[in-house]
Amino acid sequence: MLSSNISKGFSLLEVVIALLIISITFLAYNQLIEQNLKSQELKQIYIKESDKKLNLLTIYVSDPDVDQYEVRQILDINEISETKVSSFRNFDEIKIDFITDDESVYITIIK
Amino acid sequence: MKNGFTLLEVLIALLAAALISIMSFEFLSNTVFLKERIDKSISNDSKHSKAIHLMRLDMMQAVPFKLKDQNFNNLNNVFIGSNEERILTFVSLNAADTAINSSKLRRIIYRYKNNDLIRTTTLANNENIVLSNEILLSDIENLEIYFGDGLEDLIDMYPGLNVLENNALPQYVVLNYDINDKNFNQIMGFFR
Repeated sequence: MLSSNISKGFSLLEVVIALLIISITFLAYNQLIEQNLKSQELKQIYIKESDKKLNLLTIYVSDPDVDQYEVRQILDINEISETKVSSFRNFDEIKIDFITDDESVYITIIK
Repeated sequence: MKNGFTLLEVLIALLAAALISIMSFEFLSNTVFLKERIDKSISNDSKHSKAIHLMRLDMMQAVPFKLKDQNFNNLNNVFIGSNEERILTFVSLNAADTAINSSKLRRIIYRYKNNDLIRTTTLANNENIVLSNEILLSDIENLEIYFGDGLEDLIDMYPGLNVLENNALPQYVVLNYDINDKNFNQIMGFFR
């Protein structure tokens, strides 16, 4: 088949199919790259959220009774709400929600 | 094949090849550009995370060790922080350092120079013996650093000019900087 094609040349249909296969391969590759880009953007959001949580944990571990106004000022947080989850002897497990314009994160601390 | 191609066949083939190249060039260059952007993003994010984690770890393992200058004069401080080139100087435990079997206490010096964040470690009591010097991050812009024992009284120099002796580490170190036009705010603590 191949040797006869080399001596006689390829038909138009064969050439079109070959080009189609190449096009599909390019498209699939492009899609993979684009998906990768989207996952990178998601990762950036995750890193930002993780940084915010680390900052909040640093503040609350250093001083569990820190003034909420100071936390709101330094991290541009709109609202902070505390919910008591459980108690053990003198300690309370507190879930603290931090709400900003575009996201909401929470940490759990022991007070 | 045996007789070769006619001039017309060769011209048509060249024309077809040129047309396909022109149509696919933009598409391919865009794909290559995207790939380069992703590779750069992965590398930058990884370096950024490692650098910040290393800073946090250094601060978590810091010890209130009285600093001496290069001529071995007492500085009467355990921590010096400023918004100048040398942003942080303190002593920390560097357990991962296996170069010397004796003390693992290292003086950690962070510098901000030419948009690079540089971490240098020396012997705790002798700054002249440099053990490592590494550029942690490049292309950092507008780095500002603040120190304080509370979030409401952050200052850009620690201890202040009027403090002659201070044996305490600041409670908070706040870094604010830009990388690729994105702003980052890191709050770190000494927990001591």
